Amino acid sequence: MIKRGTLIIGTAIALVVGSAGVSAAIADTGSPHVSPAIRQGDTSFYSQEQIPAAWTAATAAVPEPLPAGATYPKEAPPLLFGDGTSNNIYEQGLPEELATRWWRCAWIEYSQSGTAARDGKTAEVQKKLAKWKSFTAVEEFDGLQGYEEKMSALAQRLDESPLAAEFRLDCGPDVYNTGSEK
Amino acid sequence: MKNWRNRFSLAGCALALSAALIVTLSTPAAAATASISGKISACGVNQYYSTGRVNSLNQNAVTFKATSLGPCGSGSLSLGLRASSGVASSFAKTTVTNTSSVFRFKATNGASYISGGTFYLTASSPGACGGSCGSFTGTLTYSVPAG
Repeated sequence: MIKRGTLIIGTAIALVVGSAGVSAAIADTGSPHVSPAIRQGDTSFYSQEQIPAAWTAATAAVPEPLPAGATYPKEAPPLLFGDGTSNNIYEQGLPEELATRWWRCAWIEYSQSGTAARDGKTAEVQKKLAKWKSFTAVEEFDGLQGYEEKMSALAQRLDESPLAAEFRLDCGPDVYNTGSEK
Repeated sequence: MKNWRNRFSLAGCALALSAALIVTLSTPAAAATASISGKISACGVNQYYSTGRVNSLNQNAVTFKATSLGPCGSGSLSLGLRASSGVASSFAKTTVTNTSSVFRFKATNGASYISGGTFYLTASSPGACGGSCGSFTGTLTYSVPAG
């Protein structure tokens, strides 16, 4: 009886210690961080060489999951390779915002493909897309305030549905690269 | 007398409405401005800024008016626009050479307008090499009907 109790306590301690170790490992590797190499006054920039790591960190930091079956590309979008030379630097926040843009485009594609409607998930897609503007990487930019309203107005002028117009105009291959899956 | 008063007030209302309509129609509702400032630290380096902005018209004009330009080198500032798509109309450039003119971005495919949607600003300066040489400030105006 004593032995059984000892065994139970020992197992419990082992589980607690073990799970703490796993948590620490997730905390250490789950949120990779890249410090921009170039600093100019209050502004920081990633070098071209830092972009692959910055892209990986940015996609890991997107707070909501992609639609089922979708994965972020291993390579950063072409916009983060500038003009193809190494003489490009990128303000901190651009890879992060483009990762959330990639997320948004994936949900729009899921919605536009008809899969969401077939799976009865149209309302879920709308809820997901509504969260985008509250992501930190989006929220801190004044230029994107009222984004959905502006895109809706543009879609109306183009006689397209808002999501169809947005996908065509803002999910082009320089931002929404779907070629090289992880 | 009462009828004349009514007629005058009706005419006054009509005039006021017409004036309001003219003002509404002549002011580009979607036009937006942003104060821009930056510092270019190295010669020939293209800097990509993180703020996405939205051109909310189908065909837009985008301009930049500098209030200050770095004092060193050639003093010119090359600004560019990048969007989500590789189509040429998404790329536009302008070279800012003084603080007295308004410089309009030109699409590199020769189109007279910039397409709608989100764009990002880029900046470089061939004559700016370190320190405060490449600093610039100015006003970016976008979502203006291209005419």
